[in-house]
Amino acid sequence: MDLDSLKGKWKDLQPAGASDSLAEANLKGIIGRRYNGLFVRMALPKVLIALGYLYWGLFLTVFFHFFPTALLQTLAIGAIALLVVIPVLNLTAFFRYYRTGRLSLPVGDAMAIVQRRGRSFMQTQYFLFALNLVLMALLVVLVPLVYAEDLGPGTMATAMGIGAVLLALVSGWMWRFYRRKIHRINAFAENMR
Amino acid sequence: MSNKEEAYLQLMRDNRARIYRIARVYSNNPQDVKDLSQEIAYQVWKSFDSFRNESARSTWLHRIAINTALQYLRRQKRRPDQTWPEGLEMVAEEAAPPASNDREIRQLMHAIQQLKELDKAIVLLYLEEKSHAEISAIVNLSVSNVGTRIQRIKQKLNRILTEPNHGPR
Repeated sequence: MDLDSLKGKWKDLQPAGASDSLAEANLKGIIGRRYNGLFVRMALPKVLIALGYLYWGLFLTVFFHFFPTALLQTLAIGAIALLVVIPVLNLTAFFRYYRTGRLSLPVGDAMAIVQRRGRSFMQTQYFLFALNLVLMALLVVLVPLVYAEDLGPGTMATAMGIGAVLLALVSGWMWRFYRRKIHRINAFAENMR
Repeated sequence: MSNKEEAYLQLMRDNRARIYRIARVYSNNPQDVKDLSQEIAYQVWKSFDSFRNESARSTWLHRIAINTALQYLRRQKRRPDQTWPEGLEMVAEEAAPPASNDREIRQLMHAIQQLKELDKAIVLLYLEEKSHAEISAIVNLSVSNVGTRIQRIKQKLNRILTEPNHGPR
């Protein structure tokens, strides 16, 4: 085999699978990644999430206090599971992806399963994102109302205001984070199809 | 979109196939090819401001791509437990067809993958029609050393390719 005679054929080797537009979107995602400083990228989101969870935790405690029946406690436990476990699992996987540039295998596996059922990975992510926001919004609005009789209107309004600001910060950051990830994760999802 | 971003996207559009070929040579499975291609794209973007016009853009890009590939390989070796579950590997294989339908290229790819890391880089650059001077600038060897190594690599590849049980048919 003459190596020189294969140069032409060698150059015919082209990437297969991902489309040009997908590759372009992926590159734009990479550009976006550079603009975020280390603090904004790593520390600030974690602080916001911690504050968000603290807020949820405080008000779930209130739920237990004011609704001591078995049914309501079960509902509260369900809410804890939804509010804490799903986002934590999601975010852990995404942070891992962000640090190492590799999705963990359970996430990849879950994506393959989701896609076999005809739904895209991003559809699932959007659903989880929306679910988180709805549950957070419910807490921000409903829980201070539970306290309405015990707290004065001023305290209640302050509690709702703090909750709303936290909600806006956490959801705003989450939305940015998800949007930035879309390009890279979409590219991965496309490859898995 | 800024001029810098446009210039970067154009560079990547022009070199997408080259980056793919480098990733293909240095990776063992389709997912690693995608990961490594992406890592190279990211490293090129990170280093974009450091380009000083002292060499051709493609020489600069090749240097980054090969360094990234070598670093990627070292990282992979430190994490040998990252094997794919059986079902998932199948999905990925389906998504990424074989490197080429051409038997000679498939055999050549297989033979190149058996070379040492530096020799892989040199033969890759040779196949990309880089001059000896450009190869020497990328891999930090003298021009004469590059010439000697290319001759040896050719002989080695011929030996591998003529082995009776060699690689994919």
